[in-house]
Amino acid sequence: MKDLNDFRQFYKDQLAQIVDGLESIRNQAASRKLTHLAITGAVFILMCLGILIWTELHKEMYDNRSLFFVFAFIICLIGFSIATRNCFDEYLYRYKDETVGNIITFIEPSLRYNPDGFIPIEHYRYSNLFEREPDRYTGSDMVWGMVGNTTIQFSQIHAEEEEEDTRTDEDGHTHTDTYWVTIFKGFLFVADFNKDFKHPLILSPRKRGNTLMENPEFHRYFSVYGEDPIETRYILSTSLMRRLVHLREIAEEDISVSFVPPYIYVAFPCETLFSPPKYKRLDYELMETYFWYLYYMIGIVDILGLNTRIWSKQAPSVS
Amino acid sequence: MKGEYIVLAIAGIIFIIIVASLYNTLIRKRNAIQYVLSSLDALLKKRCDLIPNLVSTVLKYMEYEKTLLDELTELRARAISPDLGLPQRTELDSKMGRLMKSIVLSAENYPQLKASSNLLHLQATLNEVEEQISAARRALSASITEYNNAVRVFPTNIMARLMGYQEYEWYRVSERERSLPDLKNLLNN
Repeated sequence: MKDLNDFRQFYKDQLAQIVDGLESIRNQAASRKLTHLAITGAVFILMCLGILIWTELHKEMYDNRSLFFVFAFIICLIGFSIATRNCFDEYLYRYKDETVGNIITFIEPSLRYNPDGFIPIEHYRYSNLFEREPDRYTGSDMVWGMVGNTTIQFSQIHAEEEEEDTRTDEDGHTHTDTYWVTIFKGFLFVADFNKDFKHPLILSPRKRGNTLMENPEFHRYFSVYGEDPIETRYILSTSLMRRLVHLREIAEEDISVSFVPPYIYVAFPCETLFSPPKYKRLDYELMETYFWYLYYMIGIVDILGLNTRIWSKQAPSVS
Repeated sequence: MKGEYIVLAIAGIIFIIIVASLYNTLIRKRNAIQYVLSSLDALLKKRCDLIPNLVSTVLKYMEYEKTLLDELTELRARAISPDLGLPQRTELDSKMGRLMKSIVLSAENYPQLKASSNLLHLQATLNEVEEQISAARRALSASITEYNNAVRVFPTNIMARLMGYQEYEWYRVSERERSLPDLKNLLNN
């Protein structure tokens, strides 16, 4: 797999040109929006002046002056929104495909990318990583395909549940406020595991486990919950435990892992990535950040040795 | 007076709960060892069952290794005997494991055999069984540690003494198995 030096060369040879093109479109869109803002501001000022003059001439309307100012403001706001609603369309439409899409193809050409797709909720439930059923489940940036002998898919997901806060005021009236609580936000990675097994196995950074493994460093980061002590150790070989520790240390965040036949799941919490910046300059540092996250997610296959297929479970055939 | 009886009754109930808990803990840990031992037995038998298939696959190609194959067949016949004790079974199991590995390694010298799909499948199955056996041994070691700790630490050691429970013998890996394999020697033999 490619490394940072290869990425720097790729950026220099290909990506920089694309980023410059997008930066130009972004700049134009931002300038257009600022121009519209200036025009709207000028219109608002003129309208306010008009209102002031008119209310001076018609004293009976003097008391309603503040209402007219508010109307003027709303009209200008609506006008501004309509005029600028398509400003960034081309930029937003092209941004992810041309930046994230190209970086993914650079790292692993066999993978495909859909900026609007995300891991189905069935995988979220099946993974056994999350205890709560979400009331709202969204995501983006779906990547899928084969890395060597292993089929993978991953995307950003955001699972939330709705909560209500009921309170009673001094008059005895009940008010209910609704708000959203995040259950999980980050990357969910799914791959076809390279061994056959029957029972789920959960590795959690926080919950209590029921199995103590031989590697104390492993237990710094993971508690193990497995249904069968032999199958737990068959899945968690000494080699895989070392690799999982390495995966966690690279992430610098608590990650959760589960093995549910026939998959391995990795949940990596993070804030939303790859959103096109509208008012910030596009540069190499931003692209490098994307590269590191994608390189890590795609690299899970090599880090965990999922392409090693020396047991009876062979790689799936590519149709 | 009535208050004293209530206190005594509560103390009695707490005492019974503690004793029952200690008893159950020891039983559970002992049963865990039995469960792993029986699973290990099943896996060793599974490996044994691979031998006839392995021998028939390689026999026509590896005539020079006939001695090895005969030795393996003989070990298998002894291993499936029901009268075997754990130490003898462990010793036989170690020998069979080493022989099977050396036969599979020797197959590298026979190009036609090396490409055979039957051998490839056998190798994969053998790798899987070996890894499952290794996992079972690790599980056995962990369950014996937990049991022995319970037998020695306070307060379960008191209950263990009353029940006549003693420490379980550790699973021993033979000295030869601990040393790194000499691949060149295996191939030349």
